[in-house]
Amino acid sequence: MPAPTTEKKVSNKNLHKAKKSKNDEFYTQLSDIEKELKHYKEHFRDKVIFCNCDDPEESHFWKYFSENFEFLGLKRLIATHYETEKPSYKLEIVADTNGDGRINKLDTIRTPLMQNGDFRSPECIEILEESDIVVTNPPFSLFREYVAQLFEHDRKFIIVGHQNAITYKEIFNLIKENRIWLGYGFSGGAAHFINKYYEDYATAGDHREGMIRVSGVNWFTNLEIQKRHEDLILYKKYSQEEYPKYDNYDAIEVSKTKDIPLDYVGAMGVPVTFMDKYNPDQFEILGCSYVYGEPIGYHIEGKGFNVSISGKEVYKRLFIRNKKLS
Amino acid sequence: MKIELREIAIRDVVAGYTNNQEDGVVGYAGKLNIRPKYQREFVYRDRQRDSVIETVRRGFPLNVMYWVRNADDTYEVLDGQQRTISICEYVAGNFSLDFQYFHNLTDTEREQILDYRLMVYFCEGNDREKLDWFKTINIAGEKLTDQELRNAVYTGPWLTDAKRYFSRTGCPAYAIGSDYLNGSPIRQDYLETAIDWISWRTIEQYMSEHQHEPNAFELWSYFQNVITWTSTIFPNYRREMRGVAWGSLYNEFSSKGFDAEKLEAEIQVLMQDEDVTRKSGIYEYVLTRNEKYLNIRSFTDRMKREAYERQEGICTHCQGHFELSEMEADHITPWHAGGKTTSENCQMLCRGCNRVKSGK
Ligand SMILES: C[S@@+](CC[C@H](N)C(=O)[O-])C[C@H]1O[C@@H](n2cnc3c(N)ncnc32)[C@H](O)[C@@H]1O
Repeated sequence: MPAPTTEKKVSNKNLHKAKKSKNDEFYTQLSDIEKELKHYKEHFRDKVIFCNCDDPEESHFWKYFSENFEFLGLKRLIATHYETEKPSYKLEIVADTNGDGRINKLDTIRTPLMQNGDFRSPECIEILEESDIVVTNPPFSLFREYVAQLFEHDRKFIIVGHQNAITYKEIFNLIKENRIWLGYGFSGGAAHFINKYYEDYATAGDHREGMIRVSGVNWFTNLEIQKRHEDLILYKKYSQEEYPKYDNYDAIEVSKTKDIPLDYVGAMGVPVTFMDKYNPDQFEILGCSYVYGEPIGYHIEGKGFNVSISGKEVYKRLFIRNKKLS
Repeated sequence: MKIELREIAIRDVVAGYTNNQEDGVVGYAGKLNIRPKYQREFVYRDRQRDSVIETVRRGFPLNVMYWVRNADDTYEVLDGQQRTISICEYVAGNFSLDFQYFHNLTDTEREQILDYRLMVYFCEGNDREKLDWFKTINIAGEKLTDQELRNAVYTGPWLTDAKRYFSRTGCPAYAIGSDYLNGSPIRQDYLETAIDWISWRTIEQYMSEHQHEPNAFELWSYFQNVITWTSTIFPNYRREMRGVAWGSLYNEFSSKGFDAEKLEAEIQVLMQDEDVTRKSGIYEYVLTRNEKYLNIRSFTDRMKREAYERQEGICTHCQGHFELSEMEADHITPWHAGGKTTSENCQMLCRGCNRVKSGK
């Protein structure tokens, strides 16, 4: 299972220790939540928000929404706590229960759950059914399952995930069909999470006490945002020398997103980081080399899934086409 | 030129605050351009941002800010961009300080912030005056580059469009030109260089002439042409090519035909010539034939002394006798004819003769 890559290799001993303790316990910083969610303000009005992977006592998601309950005009806020083996609880804010004229964390209602707060438990699914938007940082290791459940119940969401997930077979199909896309993201494409169990192995300049730096982290959402309607400015002209064709698929290799030629009509292979600049009005996503070449069928039995140039394999590519041409 | 110190309440600055990709950052009932579209985004840390809010909440003074008044009664923040954005973002509820949002403060606390007065210098004048003034005042905090100052004066659709191409990290101009230009797009070095080239060194005149044009396509296509031309006639890239005044060369020589292969052969020889001390000048030299670009190595004191003794103090031109201090060294066989900077190829001429000779 692709785990988030930390800056430096975590030593075996530490890794083991970390695994034994809580591997998925990365807590998102309030400032990162603020920076992303400020772009979605208008979506929250009159909505039921559900944070279903959140340990509300620790989570800044809960903090964010409870402090902003009135400001955002929420209808209801619910968070469930997860316990490995015992029954858990949920927190909820609905109205000014204490009658102080304001709706905030002082109006929190705590209710025990029958089950352990697993997002897959019938109880939690029931809450999911009642809510409009799910906002959380689910465990990376359960990401596929987590997203599958969201789609099964047709919910709106803003969640933290790793960029590797883009090429998971199930997730990729959703990306291709424009049913899920990337949010604004963390600055520099890496997030500092609050973590009590790991030591931070980030390089000195980027080291922060009590934090772990994880690169390639992003927000995934299916809520409309301005960002995905901004055209990528293209300026390079296509030339045969600069953009070689793959041996096994009729597409050109574009090794940097910014070098996408402005005048090439056919299929182009770009790195996965392209997703951050993807505007569905400008480009169409055709396929992805990691997904077994399936959607486009260049894969030959018994060979690797990657495309190659002069026999040399090229790492993970998304295949796209410029919609504004032709 | 009019400069006036005024107090502006935060309440007025945050009125109509918007911050988005499409319109840039705007406040003061839409009349204040806080950060024009595609302007440099200073990397402002959360800690700096927070301390601005703390200062305001405690009622301590912030440093003076500068606003420029444009012809159409709008204003531009020349200094104080980040502080202004921090304040506006806080009041808009976009971040919290000590887990407290603006909207969670008591009425009194909120009023205190909204009533806080920023000290702002309003400056007004014609373009020339503003520019001179900006260059003279010592702006506290983030020092602005010359081009950033010009950008504050010659605002308009042309500049907005030009910045799309030249002023962002990873912008198109950087992508095609970073091998050939020094500096960084966000500090406006690329924009400055491009205008410098296209305008034959009259940046401000060019900017004022184009200020109200709808787009900067002319500048961008010119820049593309310069880069294409450069990489066509000098296809073998060397790091010495970065920082050469390619635009000036393009202006002068793009209409003439050159044989790229012949140029490359000559460059190879010159690169290995010890007497060429300025290797980056080779590119200018092969086109202009002006030796000054090469900084040809000069004779050392030891070489001069040897030649002087050999000539027994006699100037080889006028045959007069001179002291060493009255003479200058000269290549017997000129450098361009294959003469080297060695003591065998050194002759001492009296100052007068040398002037006449090199004057030609
Ligand atoms: C990566 S942490 C993020 C916590 C929090 N959302 C934040 O960003 O601060 C993942 C959280 O999911 C919880 N969790 C793990 N497995 C879960 C499951 N099957 N169902 C619900 N929550 C789970 C963990 O206890 C942990 O609190």
